[in-house]
Amino acid sequence: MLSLDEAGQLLRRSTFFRSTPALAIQALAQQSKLLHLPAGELLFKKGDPGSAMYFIVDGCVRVHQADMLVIHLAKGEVFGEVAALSSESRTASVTAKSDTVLLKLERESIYATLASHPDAARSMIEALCHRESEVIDERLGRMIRTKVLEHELEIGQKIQRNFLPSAIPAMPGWQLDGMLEPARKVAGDFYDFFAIPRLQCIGIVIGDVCDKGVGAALFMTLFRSLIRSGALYGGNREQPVGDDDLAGTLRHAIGSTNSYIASTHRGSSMFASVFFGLIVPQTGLLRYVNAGHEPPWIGHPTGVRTQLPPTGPVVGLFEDADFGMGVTEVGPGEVFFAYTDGATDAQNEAGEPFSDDSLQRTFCQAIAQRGPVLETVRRALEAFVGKADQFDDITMVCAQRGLH
Amino acid sequence: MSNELRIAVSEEKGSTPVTIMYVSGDLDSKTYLDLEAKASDVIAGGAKNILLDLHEVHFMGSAGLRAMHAMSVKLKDTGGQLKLLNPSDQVARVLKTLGFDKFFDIHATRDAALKSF
Repeated sequence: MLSLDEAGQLLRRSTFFRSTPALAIQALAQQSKLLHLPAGELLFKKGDPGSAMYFIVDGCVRVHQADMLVIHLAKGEVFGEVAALSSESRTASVTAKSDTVLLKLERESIYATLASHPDAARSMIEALCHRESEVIDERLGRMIRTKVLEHELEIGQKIQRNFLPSAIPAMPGWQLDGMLEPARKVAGDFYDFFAIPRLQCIGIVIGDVCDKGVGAALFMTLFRSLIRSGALYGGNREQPVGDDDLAGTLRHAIGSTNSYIASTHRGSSMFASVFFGLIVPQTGLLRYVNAGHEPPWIGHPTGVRTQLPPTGPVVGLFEDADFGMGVTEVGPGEVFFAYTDGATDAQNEAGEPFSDDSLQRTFCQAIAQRGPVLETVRRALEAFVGKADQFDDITMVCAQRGLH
Repeated sequence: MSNELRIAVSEEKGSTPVTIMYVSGDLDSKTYLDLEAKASDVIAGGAKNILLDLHEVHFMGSAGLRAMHAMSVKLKDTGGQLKLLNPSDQVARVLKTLGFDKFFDIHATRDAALKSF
């Protein structure tokens, strides 16, 4: 058991009571209570009313807000002074980290000491100012760290934009269009358009990497680059060109991307749903692989004529996957349209999703208006969402074939 | 708001022991790490074969599939297996669209699932 003398000596060591005369300290120690707090026990929680401050005689406490640690305080330190010296409630919760012994000092006895010994106020005010300056430093530090992180993310955002096509290839008689609206600074969605001159076709890619944020963004750059590189530079480019080469190019690009990510990044379990199509402008022939992606549509003014369901699993997980292949045609006046689920899941301020039906209806109305389809759909979606938060990246691509 | 994820675990001691994980709630980007963490504990505790009972998972996002793949990779490395039991309609649809139905053993009844290990 702590004697009054010992308690007084301990208090004296605290910066709060440095200028308090010995007699006053002794009086304060007399009115204090010794408290044993077993490890893990909560002393008070944020928002509680409180009229006492505590001096740590032995042990260590966690000052926290919910699960987030604010600071660890150990032997010789004081806490709870804000609620004890004012009418504020507890500004944070305190839990014993180890078995802890505390001296509990009540508001009345502290103020009584101050009233009878004005000198004692000096060290207490100094200690409070010191703590205030520490809090300000900490807050400034946190603001600076946040700014640095934000700046890094902005750099990431700029670099990531270079992984989207800067210019969409010209395709006579067609209008190609793509958009990506990230939910956060960086996106896990991607799209791509590129010409493959040797096959006289245009490649269209849309993909959605699982998860969100920086991790998904890093993988997005990998998926997009491997697919483009596999399509442009892979396979045997010396052979004469025929329709089979479209299939061969698709198979190689998706197959090699899948094998690479599934084996090299096996431990990450990262994957993407990908639609990769090759369109021959003259004939409207569309050969494609749909790797676990929302079925794209081919539509005309009166409705969606056909959907292009998955031909294989998502890319990046199953090393021995077989991706299959589909073939169709985009007829004169028809529009090919693909999207990620961010478009159909986009919520309005009431929390309702845009839905497949609305997207399809908007798409057909846009075709009927004979204007740029993607821009019309984008505006309708924007009007629906209003001021609601965007949860997921929204990506759409389309290829509109002219009537002649 | 996602529905809180709850996971209960039980052991089935047969000729091939199977750990059954009953999952309920939403399995999405906010909760998938809870499943991964629980599965890691179970695997660290010696489980080789896990049957994931999904009949009370009413929403599964791509992050949930990611967690299942991570579990299956870990189990394969120890010579074990992950199998799925009784997915709800929404979950079954997601499994099919993303092609997971071809790579995971999915069973409609608990007995059939346990016998298949």
